[in-house]
Amino acid sequence: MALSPREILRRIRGIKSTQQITRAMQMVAAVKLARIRSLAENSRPYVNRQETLMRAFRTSAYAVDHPVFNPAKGNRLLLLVITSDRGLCGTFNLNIINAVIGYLEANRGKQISIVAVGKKGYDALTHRGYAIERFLPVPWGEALTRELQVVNSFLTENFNTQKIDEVHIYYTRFVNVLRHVPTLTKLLPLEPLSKEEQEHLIKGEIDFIMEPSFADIALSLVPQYIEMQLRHCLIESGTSEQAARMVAMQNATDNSRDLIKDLTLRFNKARQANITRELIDIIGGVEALKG
Amino acid sequence: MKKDSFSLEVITPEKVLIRQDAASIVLPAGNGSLGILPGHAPLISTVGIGILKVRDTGKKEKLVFVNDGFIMVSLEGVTILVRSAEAKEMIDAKRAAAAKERAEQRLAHRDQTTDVQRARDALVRAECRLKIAIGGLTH
Repeated sequence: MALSPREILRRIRGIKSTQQITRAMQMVAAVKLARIRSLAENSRPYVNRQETLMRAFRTSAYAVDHPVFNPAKGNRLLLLVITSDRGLCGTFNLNIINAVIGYLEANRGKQISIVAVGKKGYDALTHRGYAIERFLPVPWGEALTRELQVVNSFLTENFNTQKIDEVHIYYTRFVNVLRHVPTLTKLLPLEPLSKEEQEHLIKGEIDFIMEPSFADIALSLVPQYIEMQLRHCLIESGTSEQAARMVAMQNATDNSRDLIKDLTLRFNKARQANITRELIDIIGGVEALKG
Repeated sequence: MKKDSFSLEVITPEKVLIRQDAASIVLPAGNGSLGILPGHAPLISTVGIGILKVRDTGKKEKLVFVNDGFIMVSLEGVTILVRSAEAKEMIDAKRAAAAKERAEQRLAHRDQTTDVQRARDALVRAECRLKIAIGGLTH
C-alpha cells in the first residue's frame, strides 16, 4: 500500500501495455476462430458423404478378408497426440496433456509409441520422460494438405508393415466456445460393420458393384478416409485452441481493466494525500510566521 | 417406372460444387470412361483425373474438372467425392497452360530425381483444365 504515486503510475502504464497485447490477441484469436470454423463447416458435407461411402464399403462381404479391416491382434499402439504450438490459451494444452498422461499410465502394459503434433505436447511429454517417436508442428493453411499426407503415409506404412497394431488419436474436441473435451478416437484398424450397424442400414446401401475391384477402391479410399479423419481431428483441435485463447485473453483484458481501475483509485488517493500534506506544511508555515 | 433424371452431387473437402438434377453424366472412372443414366445399379468406383460431363434435364451440357476421388451410385442418387473439382469459370487458362508447359519440360528432361508419375498427373490435369477452359472438347 505504501507505493509512491510515481510507482503506481508506472505500474498502471505497464498493465496498460499488457492489456493492449491481450486485447489484440483476443481479436486475432476471434478472427482465426471464425476462419477455422468455416473450414470445418465447409468440409462437413464431404465428411458426411464419405462416412456413408465408407459404411457402404464396410458392409461389403470382401471387407472381412482385407488387411485394414482386420482387428488388431497385438498390443503395439501408435498414439497421435494433437496439441498446439503456442501457449497463452488457458488450460487447453494442460487438459489434453493430463488426459494423455492418464491414458499412458493406465496402459503401461501396452507398447505405445507417441507421435506429437504440436510443440506444447511434445515439450510436456518429453519433460516427463516419455519418448516421442516423431514430432511435427501443427500444420496450417497450405501446409495442411501436404503434412496430412506425410502423417498419413507414416501411419499407414507402420500399420501395413505390421510394426504397429492400432493407431489412436488423442485430440481436443470442440463442443462450444467454452467447452473443449480431450477425446480419444481409434483410427486404425477399421472394422467391418457390426451386427447392430448392419441392421440400421437402409435399403439400397447394400450390394454395390465395386469397380474396378474392392481391393482397388480400398487402396485409394482408405488413405483418403484416414486423411479426412486426421484433418477433422486437427480442425477440431485448432478450433478449440483458438476458442480457448480467445476466452483466456478476454479474461486477461477484463482483469487488467479491473487492476487499472483499482490502481488509478490508489494513485488519486496518494496524490490527494500528498497535496493535503503539502497544504498542511504551507499553512503550518504561514501560521508560524504570523505567530 | 422410368425416371428421366437423378440427383447429382459433386463434393470436395472445401465445398459442394454441384447439387442438381441431371439426365446423364460421363466421367473418368477406375475402369475407363463411365456413363450413368437414371436407374443405374448401385455402384462404387474410383474417379481419376479428367472431365466430368453433366447433361442436365434441359439437355444442356457442362464440363467440370475432377481430380481423384470416388463415385457412389445408390438408389438416392449419385455422389461424386473428389479431392478437387472446378467448373469452367473457376479455371485459370493461363495458369493451366503454364502448368502444362512445366510438366512437359519435366518429362522431357527427366532424370533419376524426376517423379514421373507426378509429372504425368500434372500434365493430364493441365490438359483437362485447358480443354474445359477453351471449350474445345468434341465427342
